[in-house]
Amino acid sequence: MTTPNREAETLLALIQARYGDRVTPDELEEIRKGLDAILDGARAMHAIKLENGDEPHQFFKPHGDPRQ
Amino acid sequence: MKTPIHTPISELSKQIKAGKVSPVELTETFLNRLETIGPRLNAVVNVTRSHALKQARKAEKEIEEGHYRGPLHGVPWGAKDLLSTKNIPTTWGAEPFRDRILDTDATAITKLRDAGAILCAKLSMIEFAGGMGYRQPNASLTGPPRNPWNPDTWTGGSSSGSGAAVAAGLVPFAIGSETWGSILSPANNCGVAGFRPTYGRVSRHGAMALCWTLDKLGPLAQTADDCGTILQAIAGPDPLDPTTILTPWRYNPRPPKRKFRIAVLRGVADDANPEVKDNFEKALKTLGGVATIEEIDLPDLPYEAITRTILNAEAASAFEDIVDSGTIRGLTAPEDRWGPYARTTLLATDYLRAMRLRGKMVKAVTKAMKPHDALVAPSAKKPATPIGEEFRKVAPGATKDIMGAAGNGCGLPAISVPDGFTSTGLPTGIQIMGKPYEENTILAIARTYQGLTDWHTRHPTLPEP
Repeated sequence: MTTPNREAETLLALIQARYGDRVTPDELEEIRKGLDAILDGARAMHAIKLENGDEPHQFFKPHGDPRQ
Repeated sequence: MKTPIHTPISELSKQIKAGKVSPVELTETFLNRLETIGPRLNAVVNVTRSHALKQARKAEKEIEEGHYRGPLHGVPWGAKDLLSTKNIPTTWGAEPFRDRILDTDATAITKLRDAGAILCAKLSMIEFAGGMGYRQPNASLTGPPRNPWNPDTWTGGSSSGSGAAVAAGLVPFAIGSETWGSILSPANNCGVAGFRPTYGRVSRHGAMALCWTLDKLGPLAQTADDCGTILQAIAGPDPLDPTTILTPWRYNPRPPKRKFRIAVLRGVADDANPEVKDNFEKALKTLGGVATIEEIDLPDLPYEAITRTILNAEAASAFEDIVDSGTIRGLTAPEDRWGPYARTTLLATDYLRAMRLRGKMVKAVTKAMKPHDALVAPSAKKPATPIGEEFRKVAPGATKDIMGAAGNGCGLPAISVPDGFTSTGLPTGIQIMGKPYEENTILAIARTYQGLTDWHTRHPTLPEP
């Protein structure tokens, strides 16, 4: 497992590669805080055990549902 | 007779139907208010004067000839500027789209037109409905939305103009949208009723998408009763929005033959502003006369993280072109020009984990709410904040808002109505959140509460035009 800081640094590098020409160093620092919040959320979610059968709570329907 | 400004629709419609109030004169009055008071509050993007007067003349003629369409016939209203309108600009609150005209009418626009309501204005909103992560009120092409109760404070967002316009008597009602808090927040700050329907109750066709599985449209009005009337006009299945609920909905707020059963999350107001907490406790005492009130707990789940991850992932996709093209550099709030970059790194597996946990969240909340008619809480933890102040210093979703996260994440209906004022004269609100599809139950509770209190009859004092 990577450490939280390594994860944030890696994601920040991705943002720099994509959008680095558009952001200032101060803005990058704020983006890093945004990444920390996203990673905190991911860690909170990964603390909950999911079973293989726990499906996403969204319902895909093939086109042409006769009830529509 | 004197033109009614803050008259609830239930009363206004009777006067219109009886010919005591002219839709044309009424529309002229509200257009004048929108044009004079609206800019002082930064509440309006475009006043639709010529369209409105044409509609008003048609409504007046129809009513005179006995073709009365129903309680919204001849009633002026305003639309949050994320609802598409043919021939009128639709800006999404964003400077780069100031003059953009879309070639479609949103279903809500069409339904209200069919009900005879008169569109008088496109109302201001936070750019992209707050979808870029704004942290302070100056995040709209129309400037920071000012609260009619004190223009040095904020309206809340993102349906900012909708809240301000109803509170200031610029329109009798408005339509807003909520992904997470965008109807309840301005309803709270502006001291009006704001209703978030069950996900899928109202077609989102023609409305800006922020997050496909969280977006809802709903009314802001003087009273809970008005919200029910308006919701009936805009609710219903729509082939253009496959998420719409197939069963038609009718407003019928019949109270049960027993006391209401209300639950409160243990400690939900503990971290609220003291005056907010005090007003909430007084509201509970009032409700205690007509309801049983029980404290409950929800199972320990990362509610905020689940809903925020869904919002982040879907918004990253919904606005991908706008972010990648650099359009966001033209936005008003400095933080909106770089805020969306962080979420572009969100992993697909984390989004799917959030959607899988959403199922657990739905089960947990459904079980907890089963014995109750509604969960109640303060609509916001604090009253309107100063217009020049950051209202959050951390990234969105990092703060605690279990009612907002669970309510929106599970697609539950909720209404905010005023429950008092602070010592500085700012309104506070109580939110009443119900089970999915049971809008009538929470409307009945809110109506009953408003029958026992007079907070909704108080209006801000503004210099008349």
